[in-house]
Amino acid sequence: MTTVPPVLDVRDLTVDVRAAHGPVRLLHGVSLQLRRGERVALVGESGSGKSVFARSLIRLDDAMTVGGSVQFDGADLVTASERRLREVRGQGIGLVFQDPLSSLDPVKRIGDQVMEPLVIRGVPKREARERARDVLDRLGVPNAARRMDAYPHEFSGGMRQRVCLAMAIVAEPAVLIADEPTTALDVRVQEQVMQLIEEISADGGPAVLLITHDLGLVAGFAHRVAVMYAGRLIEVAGVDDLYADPRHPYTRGLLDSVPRIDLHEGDLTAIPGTPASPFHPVGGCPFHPRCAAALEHCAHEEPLLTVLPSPMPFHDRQVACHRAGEIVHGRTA
Amino acid sequence: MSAPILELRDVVKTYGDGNGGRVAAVDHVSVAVTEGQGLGIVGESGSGKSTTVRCIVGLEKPDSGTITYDGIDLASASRAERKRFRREVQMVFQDPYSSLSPRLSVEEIVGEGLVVHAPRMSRAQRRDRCVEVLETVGLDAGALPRFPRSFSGGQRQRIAIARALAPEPRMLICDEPVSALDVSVQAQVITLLRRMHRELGLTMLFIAHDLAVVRHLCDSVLVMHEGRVEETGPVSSVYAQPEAGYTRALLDAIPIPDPARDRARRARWRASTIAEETTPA
Repeated sequence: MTTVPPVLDVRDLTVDVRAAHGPVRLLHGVSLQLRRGERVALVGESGSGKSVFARSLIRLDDAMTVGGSVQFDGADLVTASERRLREVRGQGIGLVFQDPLSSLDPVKRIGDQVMEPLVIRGVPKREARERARDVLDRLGVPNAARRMDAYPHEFSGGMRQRVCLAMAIVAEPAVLIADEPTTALDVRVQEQVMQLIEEISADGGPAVLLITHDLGLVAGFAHRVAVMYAGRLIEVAGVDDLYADPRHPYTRGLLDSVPRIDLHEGDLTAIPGTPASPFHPVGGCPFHPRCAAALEHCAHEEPLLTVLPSPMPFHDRQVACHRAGEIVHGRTA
Repeated sequence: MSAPILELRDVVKTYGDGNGGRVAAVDHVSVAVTEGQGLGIVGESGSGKSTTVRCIVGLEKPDSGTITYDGIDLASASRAERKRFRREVQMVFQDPYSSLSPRLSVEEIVGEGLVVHAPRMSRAQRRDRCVEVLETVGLDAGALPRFPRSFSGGQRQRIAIARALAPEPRMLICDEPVSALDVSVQAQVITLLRRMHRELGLTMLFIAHDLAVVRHLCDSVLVMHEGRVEETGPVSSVYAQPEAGYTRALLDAIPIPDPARDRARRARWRASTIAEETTPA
């Protein structure tokens, strides 16, 4: 598996935005690879930079200054031309956002919106319409052929998210990025959407990067999990390793704050303090002000993301914590 | 068992369906809440849980049925009785961004209820009470002159809870108070609400779409579906052995933060969905 070149290879990605008092760094050198058939979850709190990461890959925001490299389909998207990027968006990399209502055009028919990524690329209308119908059908939109003439407001929240998924995958992208795709949905609809994304990714479908604030959502879904804090990856591991033995105190904190229905003992434990803000950076490890395991030295020196030996083949574990070696199950001995 | 502090009997609330018919958003709902109880009302969008709450607090008028609070029939309550109800029953809303006025300082927001419900309090007494409730929710006097915009979502929800606590309520109605927050911040607010429930002996109605959150906060639960009460009982038994298939389905949809167990749950879900699709209607 490690010999297969990744379909998306992000190296040392930095993102800066201009603010009143000079540039503010939102991403501090993030590296992440996605392989074909792989489902990776990117987990972090609001403001951690996880959505910035997704948007900067295909340079959706002009105000961002992007550094590092994003290798995709033989090109570096950081330096690629706007024309090349337009091809990649939608065709190479599909995107689904949290709020399906605001990502659909309220005055355009569903079918036309799903066809659009194909039509733009010169696929004949009749063929585009057939492919759009097939995708909607596959995603469980009942009476797809007829409902293509409907408008977004005639669909429920879950159906709208299916339409957004259809738009994202109709051009058969190699990578699907889903940014909090289920946050606004009821639990049963959330489950349906998560199951759909898994089905889409199976059998030669796109590699999936699913972005969420909820570590509870992805345990049975992801192959690998990357945890982001203050614009940095602080732990990357195979899903079984990560949940069984989180090495970063922040990962442990995220896990302990998930309300669960499967355990009777133990209460919720909240992470104290407030999430880091890129506008008020702290020295040393960005998590040290909220960390119970922090030592004096954590306030001065930033720990780097370091590979730890893993009991699982193929999956290197990476952790950015000075105390990672002493920490077992997220706690110091 | 003591008399319930809040009782709904056969409450019905219908709306026009736009075609001349009526749709029951709340369809013969009866529930009794005893003092000090923590009741979770769980349902999906459109289940009628929010309409039920709007009927309780008087934002909607039920078509039929009665709602009594501490022996007062709310439909025929006197002015004084209504005023007491409005002091004793306080609310916390879902969205901490839209439920706090951006133009008022934290002192004005938290003290607002006291101006109405404790008019004899001096300014200094009011300020003392504000500081007291802010400290209860983990903030301090430094917050008083600041405005909501300078606080994070979790802190705003603490301010909203402080506002609700200021007039010393007997009952707190929380309408999805954590669903707009990150999981890490959710846990802080849930922990705080549970402490208030236990330490102050507050009666709590907690509206949620998620059974997992309710389990950490309530002692009993009521599951609503299409305006009706699908199931009700103590949290311990409803979660362990749900009687209604609908409750079972809601429980099965909740992800488990354990890869092996969650994969098994997802496989069960797929199997049951396929079974549903292949069963002739």
